[in-house]
Amino acid sequence: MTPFAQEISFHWTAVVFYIGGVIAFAYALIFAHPNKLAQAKWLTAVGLVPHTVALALRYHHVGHGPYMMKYEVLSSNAWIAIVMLLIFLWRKPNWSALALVALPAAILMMGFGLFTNPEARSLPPTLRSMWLVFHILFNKLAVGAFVLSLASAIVLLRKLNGATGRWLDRLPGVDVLEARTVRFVGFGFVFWTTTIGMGSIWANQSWGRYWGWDPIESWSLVTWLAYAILLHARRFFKLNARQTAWATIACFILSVLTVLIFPFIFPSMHSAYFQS
Amino acid sequence: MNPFAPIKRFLRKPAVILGEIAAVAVAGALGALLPDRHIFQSVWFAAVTMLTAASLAVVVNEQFRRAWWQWRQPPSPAQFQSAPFKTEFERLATSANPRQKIWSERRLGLAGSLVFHTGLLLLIFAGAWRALFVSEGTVDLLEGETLAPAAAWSAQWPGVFGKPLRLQQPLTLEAVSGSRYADGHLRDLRVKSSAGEIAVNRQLDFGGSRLYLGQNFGPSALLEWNSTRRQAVLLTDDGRQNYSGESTSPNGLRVYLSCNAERPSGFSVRAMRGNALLAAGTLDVGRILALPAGESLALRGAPMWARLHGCADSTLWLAYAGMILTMTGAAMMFCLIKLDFCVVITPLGEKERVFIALKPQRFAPLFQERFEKIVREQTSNRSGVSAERRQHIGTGTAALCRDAATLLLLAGLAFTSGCDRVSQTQAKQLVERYNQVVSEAYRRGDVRLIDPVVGPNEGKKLTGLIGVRLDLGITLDSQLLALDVIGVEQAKDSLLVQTKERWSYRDLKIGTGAQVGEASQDAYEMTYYFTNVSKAWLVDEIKFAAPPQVGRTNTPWVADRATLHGTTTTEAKP
Repeated sequence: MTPFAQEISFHWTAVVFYIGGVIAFAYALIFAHPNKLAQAKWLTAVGLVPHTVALALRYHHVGHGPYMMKYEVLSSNAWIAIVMLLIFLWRKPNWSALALVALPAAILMMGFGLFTNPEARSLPPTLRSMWLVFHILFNKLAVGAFVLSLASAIVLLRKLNGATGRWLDRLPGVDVLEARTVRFVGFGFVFWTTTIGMGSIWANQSWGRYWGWDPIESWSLVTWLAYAILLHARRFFKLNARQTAWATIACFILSVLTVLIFPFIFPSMHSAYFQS
Repeated sequence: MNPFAPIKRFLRKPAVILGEIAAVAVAGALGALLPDRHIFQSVWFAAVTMLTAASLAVVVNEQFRRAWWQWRQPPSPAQFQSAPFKTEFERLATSANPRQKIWSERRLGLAGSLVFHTGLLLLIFAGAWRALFVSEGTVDLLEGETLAPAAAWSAQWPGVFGKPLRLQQPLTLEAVSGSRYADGHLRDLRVKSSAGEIAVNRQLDFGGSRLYLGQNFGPSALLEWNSTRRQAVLLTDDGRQNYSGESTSPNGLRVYLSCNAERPSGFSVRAMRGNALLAAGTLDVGRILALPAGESLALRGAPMWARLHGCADSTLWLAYAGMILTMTGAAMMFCLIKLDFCVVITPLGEKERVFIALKPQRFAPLFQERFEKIVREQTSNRSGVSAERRQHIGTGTAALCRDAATLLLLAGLAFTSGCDRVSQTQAKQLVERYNQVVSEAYRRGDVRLIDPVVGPNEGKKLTGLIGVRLDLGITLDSQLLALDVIGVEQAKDSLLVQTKERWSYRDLKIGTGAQVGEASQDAYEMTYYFTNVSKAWLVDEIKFAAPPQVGRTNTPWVADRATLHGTTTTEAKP
């Protein structure tokens, strides 16, 4: 079996486990079998094993981290999001309902990546920088935090709309959910800030300028400003829980466009590495 | 009256600040969407940036004053009247003297917003300085060529008030070298100059400027047309070591040059006029190629060339400082939430009244558990405040580390989450112990017995239930017939245990021990919520996971359900 075939096999094995995890979460939460939640978490965690192996094989195969192709970028983003989800659920078991949103989002991201061109590409000299590693790492952490904020916002809206069910009842009240949503946004904001900061240092090292209004740089700034508007508006104008949830969802959509869509559309220094 | 006061008031208005952020965001989006980026050089963008900087300056000034005042001003008991978490209860006296302890954790969180906005202000200042006063330029240098200090840059982008970029000393490019991957893609590029080495991602500080090397490089062809006109043609790479370039003769003859080596001994040449191919061949260094119409082309050399980028930005350190402050401030804002605690103990004869309050700086609803933990500790604490204070200093640091670890050290934790867990057997023992202690408390009518196994929530509920029975002159004699643990979930400090239980109950008259009413055999599906306090698992709450199956048909006593502290089926479960 070729290394690429091994990678693909491990990736799809992980997808199968994750789908199993979603089904188990749904069964435990919607059909009120809380004792099955631990199994759902373990099923998802087990899925991380082939996923990690697949990413490690990819690393070994191409000789660099998941920076270049949609295939590897999206897969690693999904990995980070799922790890963050499991860590959060490990700390807060009562929040298992988040998995019903975050896990499918991560699977979607991974599945989308798996259907793109998996050709291995060598790392150009400008990308051979430690700052790039931090830039990418914090970007993935930001995506993970934003995925969790999205999940939290959707669950919050469900509660606000009067939806009931055992899985929703297990979650804390609206005020805690809202605070948690904003805290996820806050962590994502911190990671996004760091992503931009590290990227600036790297850009200065590579091109002699820390900011060049490159389209992806600009979109990254716009996303950061959108989250800043959300955080300021909540503080200044006392946004209610529903407004906060919708604003979080809108900001998430913008962040997805910036990270996953715009680099593949706009000609930019970033897109040179993604558009293939 | 301060004449600037109205301006300051305007600049710190929330609507103005939000408008500024939104305007910058719109400019960014338009600049990214439109093909040219003149928007970032427009007057209105400059005005918005200036307005934003002015607002930031006002906000930073105010935040500094506020943070300084709050830092120096410890919280007073009066401030805790508005605390989101506060409670008051009585307990047996531990001392005859009144005590009061007020303390704060994660005080650095106070400076988060200040540090963040200061960083932004520095960044805007550094960016504006660069746009106004700093010049940038690029130059393509051949091996052996010297870049003269003045006017040698082939392209310059001076700031509005910037002087042309110039080095203080001449710079000679000595050699260009690169390495490639097996598939032919460029791996590394570096140049040796008279001032030192410059590589991709490794700048050179030289002559008051910083010199950077991009990825543009290749062989060049030093051509001589008709023994009179000389020209240097820079061949560029297609990404896989295929280089090409072109030159035009004084008479309009176009010559296309190509090679597939970085240091070629010659080039493939195709001479064309319009679309007509007039000649094709190889031109080696030092040779002359005769072309139609009496023209000739000589190749005098094939040195490598590389493109250097120069910049003399004296505020780069300021921009970096701004970035560091912005990142640090953002992290402080969301990871360090200042918490103010207050514990006031007032002696009341044999008892004492304990007032506990917690006031988080932000995200108050998320600190409910923390507050409950303090209350539990105070409830079981017989030695006063000092021990608790010690514990909180520890937990403050621990919580900070925990937050950082949770956010950054992701991979390992996911796999180690199964370690150090309460097993099903241990969970069963915990539930058995709880039931044993609580049954004994019911039997004796002594609520103090439950202290070692329950937290405040459940303790309050049980105190009410046992008290109601005592008021009615009965005690409960219960026996656990069967217990199966069907699920265990554990977080760091909380444990959820799901059980199926069968119980036998009978109520006994205090004094005579005579049975009151009928006995009952019940079956339950229960969920126990344990919390870890000082390494002990205490029951914080119990809920029915399914409607209870109660054996007896009549309750032998009647009580107002409103007094039963929310217990749904008090007659069924002790």
